[in-house]
Amino acid sequence: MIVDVEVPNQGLTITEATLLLWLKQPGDAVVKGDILFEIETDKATQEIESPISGTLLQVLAQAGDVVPLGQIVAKIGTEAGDEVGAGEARDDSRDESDIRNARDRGESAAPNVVVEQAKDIEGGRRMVSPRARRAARRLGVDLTSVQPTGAHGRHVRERDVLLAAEENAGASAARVSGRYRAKTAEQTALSFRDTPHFYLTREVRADRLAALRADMVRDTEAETGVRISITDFLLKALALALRAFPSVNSQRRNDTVALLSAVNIGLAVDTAEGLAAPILQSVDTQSLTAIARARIEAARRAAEGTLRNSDIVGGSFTLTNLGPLGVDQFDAIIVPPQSGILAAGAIKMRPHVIDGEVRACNTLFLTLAMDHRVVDGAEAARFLDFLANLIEKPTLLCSQ
Amino acid sequence: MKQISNLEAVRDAIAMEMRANPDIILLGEGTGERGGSFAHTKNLYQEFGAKRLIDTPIAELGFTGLAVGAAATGLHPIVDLMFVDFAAECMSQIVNQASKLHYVSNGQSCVPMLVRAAMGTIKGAAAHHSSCLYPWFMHIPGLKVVTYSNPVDGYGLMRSALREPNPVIFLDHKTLYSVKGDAPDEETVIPFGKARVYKEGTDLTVVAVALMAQRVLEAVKQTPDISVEVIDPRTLVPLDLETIFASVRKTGRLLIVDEAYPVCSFASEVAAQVASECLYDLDAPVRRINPKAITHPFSPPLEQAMIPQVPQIAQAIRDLMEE
Repeated sequence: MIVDVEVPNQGLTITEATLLLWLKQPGDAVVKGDILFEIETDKATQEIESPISGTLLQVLAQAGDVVPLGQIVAKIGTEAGDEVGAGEARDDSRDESDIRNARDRGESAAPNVVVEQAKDIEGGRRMVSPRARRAARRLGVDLTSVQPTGAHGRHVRERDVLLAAEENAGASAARVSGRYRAKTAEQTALSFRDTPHFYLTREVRADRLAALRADMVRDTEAETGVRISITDFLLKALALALRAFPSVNSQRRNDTVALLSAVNIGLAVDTAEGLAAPILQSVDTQSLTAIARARIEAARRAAEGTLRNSDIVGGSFTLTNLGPLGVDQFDAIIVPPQSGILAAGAIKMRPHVIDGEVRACNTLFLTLAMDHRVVDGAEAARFLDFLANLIEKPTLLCSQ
Repeated sequence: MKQISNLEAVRDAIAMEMRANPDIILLGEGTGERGGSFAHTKNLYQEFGAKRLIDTPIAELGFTGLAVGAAATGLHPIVDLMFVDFAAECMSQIVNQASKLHYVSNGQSCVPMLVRAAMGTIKGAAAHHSSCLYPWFMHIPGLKVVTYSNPVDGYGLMRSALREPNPVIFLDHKTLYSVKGDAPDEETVIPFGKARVYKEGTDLTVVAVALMAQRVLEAVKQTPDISVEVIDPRTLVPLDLETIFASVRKTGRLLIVDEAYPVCSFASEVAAQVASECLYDLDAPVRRINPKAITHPFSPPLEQAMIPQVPQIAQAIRDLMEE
């Protein structure tokens, strides 16, 4: 039998050691307990004993080499006639040359596979119960981050996962769940990191919009079965503005900007499973009733989790309307690779100066977030002005 | 509430059914005028007479075969084997005739017959009088297998058992005979295949039958900090797996306490079924407690060491929570 001799584990924080000196040479007889070699770590120098009696067949690292813990550095044959197989020797020599090369480059030698092995040896195999695995999948918890509390401190159980999920969320475990959570997390982080946002806010008068909407609901709801919302007017206004500003109706792709022919708009939808942003197609060509139907259908599919891939890719812009939830004004994060996002607040009575007098008017705040790589501030301001004009004269939204 | 013993409850159930069904007869060794070795048929002879309470010689193979024939031709015999260990004497009649007649006759014949026997350890009854052989019968298609752990269940299950059209193996635990509990309502009839949930809990599920169910109930008193759900399936065939699965889905932990020998036992079957159906619900390995796989010793201390005891069960519950 051939027994491998490893550089033994040196505690939690040590990952490698320098082999100082061999006390035995290939061919030497060794007795269990004999000192084979010495290593030095950041903490101490240590003599390593032979784990077994036999003959030292091969050494796989030289004095001066930096070797990862767990690395096999020698082979000992326990019986006469044991010899290192040819294939095995070839593999080992490659490891050895990797180590040498690394040393020559002044790096610590750590071929990946060996490091993995060292980790395994240091940590021992960790058992995760099937129930804990399922919980981890459901809650999006990385099992390697879970601290086990079970027998021997190595069985990860459901309660460990739940605890980790709570710690991750900084709140309740339920917070990290939800069908759309992972995607939102990834997209917003990416966008906030890589997209240079700028924001333009404008207060827009909405008396006529509110009145027109009330009229349309009264006149059409019974007939069409669809209740038109302020969101539908905002979608239509945004669509017409995008059609009028081709540079804004665009997506950023690598270092270029793609101008889109169709006007497809994402709509932020709040569901029990988290935020979804299904894309509504060709919004500029549709009537308010058709937009309302499409919006209701998309929200239903988002809530049911039955959005198709084609429902969530494409589009140049997103509308997010937190007005119904009482928000006055807010800044949103662009959904990449779209050029911008429109954040709408609540329509409510606010003091407004008209002809030098303060009057109570219905107004709402619109905030554009734009990708500065795609659009500059002045162009975005003209876009917002165009949009504001459509909302303040909302019959324009019915005439085209 | 009025307390009666398990023995009295089951005896009352037999009397109730014998009053209702004149086809029921009872065959056994000393079960007639003498009233049975455990007094488990006491007074039946006096009420129902020598024609229906038939004392037999010590010849299990003979009178079990006789009962199969009687059942196939219109009577409803109760065969009393006294100790289940001696089912070995008449196993061919039970396995090769009673369990199969309905099938091999293409449903033209049936065998409404009840085999009753006492099982389990009691006071050093030793090698030939201590076994819990229900796994033998669970193994055979065509047999229903019943046991119980309190007077209400014993009464209600015996009444159901005597209405079954094909063979039922009805097993009493000797140690439970004298144990008292709430008396059953006279009308109680308990359907087969429906487990009793003795106690609801959220941390850990324990499944046990007969004496072991009672020991589990004692053991959980010693682990008040652990919320244990205790289930007694009552009928081993048909087995109420749904109740067990639902419980394991809730708790994620399962302990089975079983007085049968460990290999191919009731515990093996439940463990296998749960592993198959509830793997992803399990938060810890399924654990079983069975007797040691040895012949029952006569020595009381050795017998105690062999058979699962209350402290051992309590410790197993605590250990499983720590897994």
